[in-house]
Amino acid sequence: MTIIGVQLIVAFFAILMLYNLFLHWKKNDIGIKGFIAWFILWGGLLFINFFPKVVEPFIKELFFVRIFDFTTVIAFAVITYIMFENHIRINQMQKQLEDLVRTKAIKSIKK
Amino acid sequence: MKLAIVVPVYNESKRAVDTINKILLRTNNLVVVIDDGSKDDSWKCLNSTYKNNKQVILLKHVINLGKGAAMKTGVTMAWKKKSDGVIFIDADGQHNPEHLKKFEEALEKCDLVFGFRSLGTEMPTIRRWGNLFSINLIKLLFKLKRKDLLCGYFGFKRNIYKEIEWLESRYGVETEIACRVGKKQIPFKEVKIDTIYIDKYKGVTIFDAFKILFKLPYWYFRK
Repeated sequence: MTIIGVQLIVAFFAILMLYNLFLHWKKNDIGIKGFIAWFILWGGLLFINFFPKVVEPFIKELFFVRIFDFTTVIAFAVITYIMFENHIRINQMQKQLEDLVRTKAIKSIKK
Repeated sequence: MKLAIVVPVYNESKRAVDTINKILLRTNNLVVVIDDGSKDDSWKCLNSTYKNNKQVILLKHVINLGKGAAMKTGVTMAWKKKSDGVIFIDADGQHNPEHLKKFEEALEKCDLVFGFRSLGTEMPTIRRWGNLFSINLIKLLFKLKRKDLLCGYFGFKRNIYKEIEWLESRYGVETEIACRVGKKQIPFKEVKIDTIYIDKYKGVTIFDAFKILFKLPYWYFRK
């Protein structure tokens, strides 16, 4: 099996993210469900990176020319989903924070 | 009619006290000052000056939420104090408190009163163009004829608050209100005020303007 440059970069990044995930799990920043979901994502990327043949049947079925195209589309889909989720969560938090700060300001008045 | 003058303050330790003193000289109405999480000494200055003044209510946001949120806090307090209406005035000295009388008189006859500045050479070129562009865009989309869309010197009576209640917490608040007024075709009056520009790096920036522009379709289609 020959390993090309791009595979080395992806492997390095995926391992780094897995280590980062492990650290956050140890610090209790992330629950077991979150840990498993992210582990599947980064572990899956690492696996496909070294064994691209595994996804070849899907690629042909979905009319992708190269494995790289397939992974790019999947990556964009995942990033878009995460961005959308973040956007919604940030808006919710902003609203909650605004209500909290405004209520606190009003309640502080005694006169 | 019992009105409340709402003054949002953000990092205005040098000018806020002067502006509020001028307001107090010109009105007997309640003055609600909201420090929107200033990082400078604004709160300290305001607190030491007006702590014992019964005409002034000082409120503080522990973090900066934006002008729209500060205005909302001011309105909530005004209604709590049984005011019949509010007039907003910026603390940075760009709104002349001498015009308060004109607003108070206009509010006797109309539920909603906007201030307007002359869009002449006193206004910085980029702001003049931005304002003219917005005026025409809002006119086209909402059939609303305003002489100055981005003026934060305005007032309204309590009975129309539900109609124009804004969601925008930052600088888009004036445009959002204009959209609501246009959509519901709420009658209003306009009062001429001085065009004063003190700090060219404060207020709505070109980036804020783009953000506001992107929100227009949402305001257009929203119920």
